[in-house]
Amino acid sequence: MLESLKNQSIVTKTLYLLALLLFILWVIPSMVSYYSDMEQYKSSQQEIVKLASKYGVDSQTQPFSQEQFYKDTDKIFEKVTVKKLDEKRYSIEIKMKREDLNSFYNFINTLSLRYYVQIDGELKFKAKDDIVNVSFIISKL
Amino acid sequence: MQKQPYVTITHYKEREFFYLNYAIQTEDGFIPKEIEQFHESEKDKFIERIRQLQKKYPKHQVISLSLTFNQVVKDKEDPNKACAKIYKENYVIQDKIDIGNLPVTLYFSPFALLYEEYKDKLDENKLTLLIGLFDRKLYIMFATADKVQQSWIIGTRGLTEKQIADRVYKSMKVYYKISYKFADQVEMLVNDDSPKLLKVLREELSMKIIPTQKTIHYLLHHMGADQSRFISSFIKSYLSVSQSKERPKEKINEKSEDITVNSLDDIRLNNPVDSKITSESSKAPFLGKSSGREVLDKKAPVSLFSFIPLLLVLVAGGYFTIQSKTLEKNMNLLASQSLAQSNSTLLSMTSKDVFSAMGKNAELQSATISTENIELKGVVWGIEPLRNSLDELFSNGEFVIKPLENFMTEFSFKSKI
Repeated sequence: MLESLKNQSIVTKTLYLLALLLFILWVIPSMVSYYSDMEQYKSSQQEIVKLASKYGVDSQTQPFSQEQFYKDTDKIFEKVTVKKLDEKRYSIEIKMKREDLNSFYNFINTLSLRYYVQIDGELKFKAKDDIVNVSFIISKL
Repeated sequence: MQKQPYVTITHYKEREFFYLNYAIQTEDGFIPKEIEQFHESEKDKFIERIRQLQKKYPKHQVISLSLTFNQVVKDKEDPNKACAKIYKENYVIQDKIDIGNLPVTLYFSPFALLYEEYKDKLDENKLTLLIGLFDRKLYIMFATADKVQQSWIIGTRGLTEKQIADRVYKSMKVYYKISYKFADQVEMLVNDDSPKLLKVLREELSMKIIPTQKTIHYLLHHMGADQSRFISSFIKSYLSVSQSKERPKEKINEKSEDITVNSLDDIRLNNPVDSKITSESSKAPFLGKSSGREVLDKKAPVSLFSFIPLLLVLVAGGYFTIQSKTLEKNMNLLASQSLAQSNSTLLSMTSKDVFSAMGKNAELQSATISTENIELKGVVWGIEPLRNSLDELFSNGEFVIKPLENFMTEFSFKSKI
């Protein structure tokens, strides 16, 4: 084999050398980094799955969709309003009975497990008699 | 009864085409017919045509040319390989006769054709560089009248004329290192007109070269014309070597009946199946004492195969780079999700604590709850229990009460979390 390599032209040898250098300096580090990141990713994903299971979320996290969000929450609360503020942000207003507050706590707890979203800033509560209104802003991850 | 003519049928393969020709041999030379060309996909048709000619002309020789790389000129016969004698002390040797299932009775090496062409011009005291260009390969010999001093084959596929000339020059330099002799003259045998190659060769070697242009068919018809010419110089399989030694050297025209008997008679020798041309990267050994020395012959030209390792590395590197970037994006998303989940949990817990802290002591009217601070406002009936409850949850908060006109008390509470 070495003999055969010896008989190759200088251009061929240069190509082989370049391939070897790229393999050592680029492919191997990329492979090592990929497989090490993959381990870390799997472990983080496992934690999220565990957490989701703890809160009874059996579906996979999905990208935020206004329609789907409305469909999911409207059956839990009295009234849900979703307004698009810009490409990433949405304003949410929920009207509920005071007795539904536990559902609301659970809903907030599992929000980021159901959709790739985060709550921006604060929750604003307004309560009168038996009705609680809460408004907040979410943004897509 | 009319005497049957002696016919030489010649064929060879160049790139993807078979070239076939036949010539009627006469006392005054041969009369060639039109050259026929067959694509390699028409191999059966090509063989059939040879068979037709063989049938039509019972006195014939089917002659072909070995264009493989794995042939060398040595000064000793190898009983285990296919070989042909050229010169007094030299033999062209190749591992086997690679003709596949093609009909062939005489099979020559380009080295034999070179010798035949220039044998009368060779001098015992002058070193002649003989170059034959066949099928994009240069068959080179440093020869004197008595023997071949050195030989090798240089592949020219994919090379420019300048690169080819450079290799010929390097071969001269290598030979000089061995023998301290430069060629006194250069002879070149070509089957195609190559004026550009000739020009750069002349420049590179700084020597006068007058090429001889003859077609392969012409050379093969010439070789097959006379039994004394070809009797020893056609390549024989090792099985027929001993038989051929005993054959008498007679003129074809005198003993034309013996022609078929003395030939290889459709040789399907050693390895009929393996007709592949030997890899161009294989090394052609030097002769006799110089074997094992520096070899410069036929450095393989850059082919597409040379790019394969680089291509594989680029594909693998590209694949892992893309995968890493996708994974990195997913990991960032997962990290953001984890952070968002932690904040949501904190907001949920704080909200629950705030509403629980109200108990029966107060009614919350408004609340702003973030992960950093809270602001509450409502009506209170049990001031101290509420203050205590809130203090338990959020120390250092600011609890303010304000009497209202309807004998009720308003409270407000601010704190950092």
